[in-house]
Amino acid sequence: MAYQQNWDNRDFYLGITDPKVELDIAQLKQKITTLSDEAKYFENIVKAAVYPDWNENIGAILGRVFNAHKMLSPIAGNLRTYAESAADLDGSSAEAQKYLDIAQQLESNLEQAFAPIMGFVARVDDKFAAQLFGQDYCHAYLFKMKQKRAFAQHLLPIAEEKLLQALSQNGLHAWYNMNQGFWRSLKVNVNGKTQNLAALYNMVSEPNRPTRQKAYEAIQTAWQSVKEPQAAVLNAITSWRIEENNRRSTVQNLHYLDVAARNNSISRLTLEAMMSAVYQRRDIGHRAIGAMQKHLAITKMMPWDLQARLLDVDAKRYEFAEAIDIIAACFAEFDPEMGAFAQMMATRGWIQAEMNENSAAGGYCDQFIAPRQPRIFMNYDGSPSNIMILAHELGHAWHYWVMRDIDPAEADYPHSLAETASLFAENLVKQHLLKTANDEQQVLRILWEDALNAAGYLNEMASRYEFEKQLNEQRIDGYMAADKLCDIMQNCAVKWFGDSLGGYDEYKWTTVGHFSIADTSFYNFPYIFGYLISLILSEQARQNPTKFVIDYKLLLQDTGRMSAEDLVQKYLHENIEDQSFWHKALDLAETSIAHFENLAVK
Amino acid sequence: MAYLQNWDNKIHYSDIEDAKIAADVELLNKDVALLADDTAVFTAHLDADNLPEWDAEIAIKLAEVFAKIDLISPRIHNLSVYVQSVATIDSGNVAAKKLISVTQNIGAAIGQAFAPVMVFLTRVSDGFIDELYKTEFIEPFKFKIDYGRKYKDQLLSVEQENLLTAMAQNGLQTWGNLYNELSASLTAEVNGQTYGLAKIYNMQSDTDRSIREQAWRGTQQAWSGRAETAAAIVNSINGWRIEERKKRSVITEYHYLDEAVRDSHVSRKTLDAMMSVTYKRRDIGHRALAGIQKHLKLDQLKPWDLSAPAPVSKAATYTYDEAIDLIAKCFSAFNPEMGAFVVMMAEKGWIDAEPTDTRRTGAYCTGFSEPREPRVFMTFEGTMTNVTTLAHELGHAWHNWVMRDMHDSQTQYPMTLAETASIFAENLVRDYLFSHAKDDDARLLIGWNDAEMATAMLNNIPARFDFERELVEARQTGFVPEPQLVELMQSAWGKWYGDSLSEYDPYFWATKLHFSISGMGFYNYPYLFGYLFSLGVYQQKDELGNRFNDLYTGLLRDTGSMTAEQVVMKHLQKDIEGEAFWDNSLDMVEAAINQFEALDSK
Repeated sequence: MAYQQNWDNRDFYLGITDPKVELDIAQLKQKITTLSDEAKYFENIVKAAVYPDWNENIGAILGRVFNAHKMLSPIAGNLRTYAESAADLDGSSAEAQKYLDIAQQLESNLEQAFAPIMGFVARVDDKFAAQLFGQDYCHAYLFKMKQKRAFAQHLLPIAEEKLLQALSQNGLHAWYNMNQGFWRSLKVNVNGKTQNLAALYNMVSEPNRPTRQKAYEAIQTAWQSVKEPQAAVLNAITSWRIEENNRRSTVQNLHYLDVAARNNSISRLTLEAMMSAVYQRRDIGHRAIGAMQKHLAITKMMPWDLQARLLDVDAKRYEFAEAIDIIAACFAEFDPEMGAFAQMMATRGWIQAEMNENSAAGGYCDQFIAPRQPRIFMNYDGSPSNIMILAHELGHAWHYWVMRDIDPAEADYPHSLAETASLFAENLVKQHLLKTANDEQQVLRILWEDALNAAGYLNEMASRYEFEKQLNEQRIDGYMAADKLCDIMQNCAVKWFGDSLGGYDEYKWTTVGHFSIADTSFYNFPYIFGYLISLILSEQARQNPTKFVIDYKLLLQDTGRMSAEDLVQKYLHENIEDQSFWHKALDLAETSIAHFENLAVK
Repeated sequence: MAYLQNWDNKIHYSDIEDAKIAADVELLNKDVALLADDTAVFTAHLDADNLPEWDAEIAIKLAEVFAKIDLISPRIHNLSVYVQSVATIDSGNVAAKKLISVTQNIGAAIGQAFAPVMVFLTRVSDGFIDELYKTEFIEPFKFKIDYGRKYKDQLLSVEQENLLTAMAQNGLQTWGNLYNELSASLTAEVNGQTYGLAKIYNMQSDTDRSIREQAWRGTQQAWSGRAETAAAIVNSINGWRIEERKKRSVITEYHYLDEAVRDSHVSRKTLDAMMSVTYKRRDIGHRALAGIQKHLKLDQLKPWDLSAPAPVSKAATYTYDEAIDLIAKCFSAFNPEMGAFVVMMAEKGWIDAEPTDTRRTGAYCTGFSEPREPRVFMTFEGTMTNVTTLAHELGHAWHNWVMRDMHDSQTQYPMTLAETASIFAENLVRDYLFSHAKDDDARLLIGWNDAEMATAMLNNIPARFDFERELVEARQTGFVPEPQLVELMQSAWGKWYGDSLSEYDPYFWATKLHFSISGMGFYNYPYLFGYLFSLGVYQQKDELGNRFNDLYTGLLRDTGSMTAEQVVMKHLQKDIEGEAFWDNSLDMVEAAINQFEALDSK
């Protein structure tokens, strides 16, 4: 079987200069204008605040606009995904950057045009809503509409919502875009060789300690060279959100954590239950770090050791094809369909694994909407830890894939549940490898991944959550220059890592990209959520494999139309607003770390 | 003859520790709060549907507000001029620095409190305004109100205006702030030593060509290393303005040039006439450059030669007293009162010119409100340039002085008209200095200044203007990446400099602050306008002879209460929307360059 290591996106466009790109742009522009004109009808109703009773005429108009949105969003989505992939493949391509900007603008215009309709739906009375909810054309929008109606008290008048959206292109989103530019373009000279960030971030997990320390320092140099613009990004984005929340707080206060929890389909109670359980048990992470320290035979763990890979006895590197086959076998043990899927991804050129000079750093999974096809981006270098990253992204891809027949409006699941699928996939690989391990070195290598995860989620992610909270609290007092941001980061690291480390990365506010994301705040606790829930799910898979194969697919399919509370209640009969649920998950994490601690140090 | 070289501001406060300052601050804060209470009622009346008709009650309320403004404005103005004057002479004075921010905050609070009233008066019916204009208290504000009402169609709803202002702090303004922060932190090397860009900028006018070149290249390098950030800044600032204008274009189209001329009190026709005449006669600038090149004995003229100093061996020097007498003499020849005014300024301690260690750099003219007294600041070290600078600032002071009996709100003129009196005064002195020069060097100094000014105004400023226009046009279709910005700048320079330079300034869009000022776009053509406009007025001096003096004073007095077109039509019966006026001004420039070229032939 021939696996591809480069994307084949020809199903969509033949290149960024494909004339179809311009044709689609023209079509989108024209149809968005039409939609926008039609939406004025609803805008005027909301402006006048005199709401009609349900009637056939209004039903027909609503049908038209919902169908228009349903027709246009895949085109806009495909275009954006395509432009983004082109920009990530070649960070120096001005054309790709230009079309990415246009595609983002069009997606935003589409949502702006549709906003008055959702705004109208949010404000109509229950009787009208009940009629509307019975219509086929909006079936896929049910969960979104209900969420929107629950948020109605925080809505601004439509004109202001539109203004906010329009301005954000050169405010909120422009800050993020500048940050993205840095990820693509920053380069550092290491030992006479120019390295891009993609290569450096991979090097931080090198088994050779001086190498990863050097990579860590190079990353510091790279980001410190843009610390002023990066500080501006964080300040502007945070303050933008504070101002926006203020405006949405006239009826009832809208807290920044309300927004973050809502975006993840969880309640504030769930978030608080989880974070306080994690804080109580943060020593699990410290124990993982302590044990890693012993195995690495170093006196004190430093920030550049937190992603260290074990020195492989035979320094084994895995060919891409080998990695795919290993992962496919692990997936197949749980669900043969999932195994075959992993191989199909590679066969069809849906994974970009090969690194080139202008590649963006990091790994991610995205998708085209029509036809529904996932895409994975990563810089594959053949190390064992790369296999885990690939498995992680394939877990996301599988999530997209099992939902491929569900309407996009209903397949839009939150980050918290996205990470559940990816970490579950990682666990499948680890469980399989642990079972088939035939020497202690192999066991160590797998438990090493568990230890990395425990420290990564229970300390690292938690400290980022803390930092972002501080960012929101302290921004009100004024602009925070780079030095101030370093101070705050330092304090947060102390709180969550304690003295398990000999030093902290005080520039983490810029070396980590998550704080600069425009669309989503608190891109951290959803990982902890996914990590802990995936442990629970993996335990289910172990204890009750036959039933859970089916349940898991059903659960994934429901992730875009249910709150996390309802989802877990439905499939696991557990209450996630209760700390005891999280302690169960933490017990599973602890068991693995205890096992790891007991492995003999060679 | 007893000329003072230091300010005597004792009639206001004894010194920065004067207890009266704290008392005045307290009183002002109290009065501003009362003002805000009074204006709150207008905030409730800002909605189009909610505008009241004229009645006795509202008349009283308006009268109260304007009476309060009349009481408060001069006091805050006096206080801030005083604290600024202390900081000017003693730039490290901590108490003064603190008080500057205190006075700025009070000023902002007054602005905020008063804004709803001006918006209210912009929105009310014509009938309301007719009634209002029958009252006496409104007389001094009529121009401002009328001018604001011309842009009525561009106003958004109150909520949207508020939203825009609030979000701009995290969009538009933060982009501008980021530019300032970067330019303060960037460094470059000259002769192996590292300097901040501000120091480097001064080195671009060093006598040593290699230092000039290093300084220019260093600046290019520093900014091209940050090109990505600089591109994000200019794109976001312009993108923001485009979105904002779109929102303001619902009733009538709000073109970017409409916005550009608005605060300048000139019409687009005037702007077009001026730019097209300048384009036709841009070769005057080229001839100036050719003359400079010959004097510097260079094969090719480069961008780093544009601020080269005149190659003179021994320059004449002046004592401060000689300078005052000389300026008074030149002014008197035109108008004896104006000459006497200069002597009074120097005798009363209204000029601070003595070189001291702690003073700031630069030169400016300011003035107290009560009593209406101008103040001039500069550092006089005896050069001929110092003499012309002093004359320039005294011209501003004269402008203020002839308006001393007028209401504050009628004395605020736009940037386009601000230079009328200063350049006029400078010309009076320069004409004298040239015709009475004792040697070639003295004549060259004047000619050199003429030449550098001519090319800066006729080539450099229009290139900026054209570049910005192209930038706005390009930004409307998408993000303008670094290579395209470079291209646009090269072609703008090509258009205006032609062959007069052998290379252009490709990163000028990044190195020049003016493109990244968040508060104002097209911060370029007003320089050209002020320069040509004042020459056009100066040209009338000989034309109109005896009659001119009174006309000139009348013109100056109307600069705060008329548009530029009106002021010239009324006093000089000239139409600045036509090209003839500008051709006249350019004849004057050409005459100066002829004179410069004649020097060259000697």
